[in-house]
Amino acid sequence: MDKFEKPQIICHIEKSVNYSLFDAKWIPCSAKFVVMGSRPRGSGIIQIYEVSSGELNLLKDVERSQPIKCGTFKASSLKDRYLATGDFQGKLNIYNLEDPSIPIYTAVAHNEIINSIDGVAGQSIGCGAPELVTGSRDGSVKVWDPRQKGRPVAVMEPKEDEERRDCWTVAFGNSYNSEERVVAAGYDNGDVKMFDLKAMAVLWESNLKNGVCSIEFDRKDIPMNKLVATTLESKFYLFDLKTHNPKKGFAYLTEKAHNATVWLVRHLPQNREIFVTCGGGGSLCLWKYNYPEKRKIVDADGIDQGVVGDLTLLQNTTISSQPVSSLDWSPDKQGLAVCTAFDQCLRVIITTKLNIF
Amino acid sequence: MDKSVLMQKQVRDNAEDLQKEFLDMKNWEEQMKHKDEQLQKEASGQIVLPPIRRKHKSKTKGCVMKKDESNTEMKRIKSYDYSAWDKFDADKACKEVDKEEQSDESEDERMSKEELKRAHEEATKHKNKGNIFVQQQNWSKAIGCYSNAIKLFPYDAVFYANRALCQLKLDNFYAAESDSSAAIQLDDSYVKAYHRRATARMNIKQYKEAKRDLEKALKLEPSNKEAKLLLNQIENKLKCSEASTLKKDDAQQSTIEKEGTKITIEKKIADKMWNNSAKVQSTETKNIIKPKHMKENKVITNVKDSIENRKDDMANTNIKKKRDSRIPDWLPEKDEVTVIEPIEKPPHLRSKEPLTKIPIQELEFGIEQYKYTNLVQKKDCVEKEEPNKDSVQIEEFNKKKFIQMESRKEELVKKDLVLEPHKENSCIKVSDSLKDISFISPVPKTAVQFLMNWRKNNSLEFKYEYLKQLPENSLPKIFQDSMESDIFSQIIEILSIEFIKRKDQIFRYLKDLSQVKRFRALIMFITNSDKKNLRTLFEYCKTVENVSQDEISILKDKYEI
Repeated sequence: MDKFEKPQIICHIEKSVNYSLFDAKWIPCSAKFVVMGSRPRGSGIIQIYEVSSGELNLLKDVERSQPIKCGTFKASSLKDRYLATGDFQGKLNIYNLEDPSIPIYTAVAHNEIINSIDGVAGQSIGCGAPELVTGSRDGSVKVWDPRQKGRPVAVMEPKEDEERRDCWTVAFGNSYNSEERVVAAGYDNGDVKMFDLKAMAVLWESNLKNGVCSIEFDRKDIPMNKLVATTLESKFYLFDLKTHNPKKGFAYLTEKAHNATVWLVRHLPQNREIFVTCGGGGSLCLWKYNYPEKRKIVDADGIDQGVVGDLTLLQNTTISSQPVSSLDWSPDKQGLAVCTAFDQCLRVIITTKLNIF
Repeated sequence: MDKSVLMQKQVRDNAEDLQKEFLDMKNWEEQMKHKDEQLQKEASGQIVLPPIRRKHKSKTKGCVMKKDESNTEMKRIKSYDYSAWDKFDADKACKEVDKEEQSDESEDERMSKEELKRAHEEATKHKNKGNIFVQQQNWSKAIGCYSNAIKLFPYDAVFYANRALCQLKLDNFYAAESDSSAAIQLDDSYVKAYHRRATARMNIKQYKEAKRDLEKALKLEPSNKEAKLLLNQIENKLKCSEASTLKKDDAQQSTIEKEGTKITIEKKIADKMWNNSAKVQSTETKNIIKPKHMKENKVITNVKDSIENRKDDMANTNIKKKRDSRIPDWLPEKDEVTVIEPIEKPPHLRSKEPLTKIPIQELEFGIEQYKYTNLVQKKDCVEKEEPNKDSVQIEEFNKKKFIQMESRKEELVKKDLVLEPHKENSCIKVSDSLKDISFISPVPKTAVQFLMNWRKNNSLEFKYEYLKQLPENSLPKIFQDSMESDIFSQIIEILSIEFIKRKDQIFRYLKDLSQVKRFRALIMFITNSDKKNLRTLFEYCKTVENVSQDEISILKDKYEI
């Protein structure tokens, strides 16, 4: 009975393409999205699609020399809506989608593939300068300001003699005023690091035992609240970041899902308590976080300690036979999302009844 | 009963929900389209952003600096302390002050008010010089002066507007437009700048934009006669073009809009190029203007082509300059080298055909160079080569290739000289074999590369050279586990024929081959002739190379002989 009251995840449009898809992002304030990927012959591709009455119209098709791994609009204003991308060669490019033939900004960001990119403060005012962060296989995490050509504004990398681990994912958070800002990065050995950009120091680090595939704060532009990190071996972690105990760290919970690698976590832009995780088997799980009665308690030493709540699984659907490589919630319509999978299909999905939570 | 009814209701509800969702979706799409369009039309509102993040280090540096200053103040010498003044080194102090100033400049990108004032004064001097050139109608020199002024002080609209005027006089309409735009950005009530931009835009047939500029200018200064005159002209032109377009369908309008966007692309390119260099700008913009009746698309490709051309030219001159200043001293025919001058052609005379591809081969320069130093003694022989060289000199731009060929030739000459005492003979022989061997493929990295090169040329000579260049222990790395028996026997054949003939080392090849994966399988399918060859090879190792008996016997075991 309960089954029918839950939100439904419906595949609204499915489109098969003839290249490998790596990332998809909605163009803010439009019914259009871009997909990025790699052609079989090894070149990169950016396509813009428009959703129109149950169909996808291809608006633009741009070919680039290098396969494109990831992209974001988050560091660009609503007026510009520039797409920042990271490619296989380690180049960071920013494109004006009105004229995508020549990037308006390029920087040789890394020596190796850029695995992940995130932006911040493009559309929010009073949350600091728009910045981009890139994480690469070369082990470094770099922060970029599009106004500064060619070189990063901050670099976080291991020291000369330390081992360089493959950085798989990066995310901005805690950017609630013009100074505070935090970058979280996940590595292939299970390391999670949080860098404070204001103090230019490591704020917190931990190891989750398995490679960290995806990491995301529930919101970028608020004092940091929650962080979800997904790992290999079908586990993901949810940290409550409100209270940091010097001994015990952040309170957290772990959850098993998908029976495969949890590739991705994406919070719903309209409701930060709801997020979706994407699995290696092509499944999507929709979760809701329930706060505990008290978010912090005082431990025996008289120091504050966080308390973690619990998770409810709202829905579990399989939409593809292959891992879901990316998913992006539409910032403009609740429940609408676009996702790409390694079966070379892109799907527009609708999630119903999200308004009841 | 009750349950099933409830379930039915819920299924129905869900279906309804879905329907609603889809309807909602449709509405939303339309709504978004509207919003999207509006957003694109909206003018840019400047948002004040926080400054670019700077490195933490520099911040701390700043703190340290301040502390230092306070320290120096503490050490201040008192006026009545004459002995201390005697010791005071004035020059050193001056230098220190200078240094501090310099480091300040590099640290702080922003200039102080005073510096700005000074820069402005300096820039104004350049501007005045430019104005004098304008009076003499020496436009290009005037542009130079204004550019200098802008470099010194990029915040004065007058400099840009004046340069725009000069660009107009030189028919560089795109540059003029971007300059006047810059001026307007700095001072949005600058009537002259609007007027100049209108003139420029009229000349690049952007009538609507030109009209808007003039209207703005007239709003600011209603009595401006020139602007009125120009406005009349433009309105006439607009009418003409409208009349011609009216004949066609309404669909044409959309294309006009598209053209508009394309023109902006051109503008951007023009802007970008302007940044590159002012000098080249003048020719480039002409290039844009000339084919403007053609499709705009073509213009863009042309521009791109010409940029590439230019880059190439620059690259050429660079190479040439290097050679010119110091023709590599290891080149055996220093005096014979003809320096190829770059051909400066105006853009409209340039070839429209794509540039020819030059196959580039990797060359280890260090090694070649070393060989040449050895060769100097054999100059007489080299001289005999000269006539031959002329025939080989193929194309001008193949210079690099040519050098490489020469190097190969030299190498061969050297080898043959060692082997045979008859110089003349060797030379002739070399030139014969040259054609085949002149391009010995580079050292392969994979089995595929090896096989491709191996099969490219069937002559034993070539294969000998190819094998010869492989460094020791490279065979197992190249082949991994993809050695095939026919290649294996071919290598053995080459070893037994060519290598023994030249008395080269072969033991190392045998050793390498034995380390290739699946070697045992290869040995199993070996032919009788190969076995015979192997025996001769081992015999050779023993007699000529003087390899120890133990090593040979170990290897022989491996080869199962």
